[in-house]
Amino acid sequence: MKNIIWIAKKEWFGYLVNPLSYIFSGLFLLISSWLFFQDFFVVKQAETRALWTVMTFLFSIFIPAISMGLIAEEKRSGSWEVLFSLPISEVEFVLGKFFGSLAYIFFIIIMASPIILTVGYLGDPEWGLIFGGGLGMWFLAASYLASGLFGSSLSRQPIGGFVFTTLFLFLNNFIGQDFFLSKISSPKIADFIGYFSLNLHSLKMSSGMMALNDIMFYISWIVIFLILTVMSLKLRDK
Amino acid sequence: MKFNLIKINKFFGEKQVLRDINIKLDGNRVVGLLGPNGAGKTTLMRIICGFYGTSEGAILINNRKVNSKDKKYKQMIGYLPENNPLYGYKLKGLTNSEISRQIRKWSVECGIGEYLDQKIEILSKGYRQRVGLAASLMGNPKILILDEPTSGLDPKQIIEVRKLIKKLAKEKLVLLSTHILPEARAICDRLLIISRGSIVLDKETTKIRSLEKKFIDLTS
Repeated sequence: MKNIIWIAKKEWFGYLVNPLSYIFSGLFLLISSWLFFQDFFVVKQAETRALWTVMTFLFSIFIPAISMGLIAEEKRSGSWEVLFSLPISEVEFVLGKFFGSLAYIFFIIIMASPIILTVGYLGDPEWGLIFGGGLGMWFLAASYLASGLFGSSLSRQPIGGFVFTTLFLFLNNFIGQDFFLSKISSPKIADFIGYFSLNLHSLKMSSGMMALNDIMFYISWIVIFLILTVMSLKLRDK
Repeated sequence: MKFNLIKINKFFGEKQVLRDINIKLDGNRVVGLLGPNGAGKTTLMRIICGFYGTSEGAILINNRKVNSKDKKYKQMIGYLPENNPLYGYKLKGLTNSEISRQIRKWSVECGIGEYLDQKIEILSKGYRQRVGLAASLMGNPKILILDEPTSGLDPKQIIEVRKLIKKLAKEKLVLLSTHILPEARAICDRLLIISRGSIVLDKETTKIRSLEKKFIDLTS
């Protein structure tokens, strides 16, 4: 546990002292505010579903960029050689990296709260829906991050991790799109394929249909990808 | 302390990179590992430091079998790889007061006491190497593994780092790899030559007459 906390803290402080992470989060908020408020005053509805859609799109680019160097950079610089000669296991390392970066992503989501407060100030939104949407976003981001961590573990170059994760998330997003699912003749198969789309679960949560099933889906996704990352690190020995 | 490697074999897929490595080390001294590129030096060092496991064979400490991935074993090892990236000595399981005490001790021993407040980026290669050495000494490991510790240093820095290694070997077993034969002769008490994954020579340095000739004969 001590090792997980130490790695997570190191990762978190790495973001705090790096000016790029502030530029990154500022850019994220700027783009999401701009895209959200562009339609907000036209539609004139006090709801945040459009914000979650914008954030989902931005996360699919920003999170691979955040996660790409998490492991690949350690491999490239050779520091993983020193790291795994220290008394730390692959599981502790992966969990530390995951939670440290998740804290940064959580910080970005929290920084989006003025957008939500503006919606609350201008109208009378359903706070339950907003809470569900925010929770869905958080789980979605954590699942993207776990996928990104795995992508980063497959390469020695951060750009390799970025390309893998972006393509993977694009494909995952694609299988949840109506235009794709509607072309599948069997509804059962369409449901089955659509079930694996991360976005569909967060969309359900943001429209007030929060179910334990969706939360369990995200938790399982995160656990599976963290296990895959640990296995990928252990493969160095084979 | 007795440190033995018994019939170590290592495969990466189908390819065998280490073959029946038997090494018996005893006491505090400097042991040099020599070999051409691709002979298996780095793989062997990575096994000893716990980065890789073995495919076959055993590591014994004081005649007891140990798992090189085990945390207790790793606490006994200090490792300085060739490119010397700095990483968390806090992971060695030391308390904060012990960390402060050991930073003071090893920074003085390694001659970097007056540079503690400086950023690593502005230090010369020689001083960075000393910082790496000090970091690998955190936790006071019994076995120190140094992968080409003088690589890229200027002659003055080489002499200083060699002196430091000799000093450390008074209380530790130091295993170092090097390409430089005069260096091996100058600082190692015992030499191991590795070629194509096998140990082809294991002798006290003083008992080797013409190291250069022997090296070429055994590795060509």
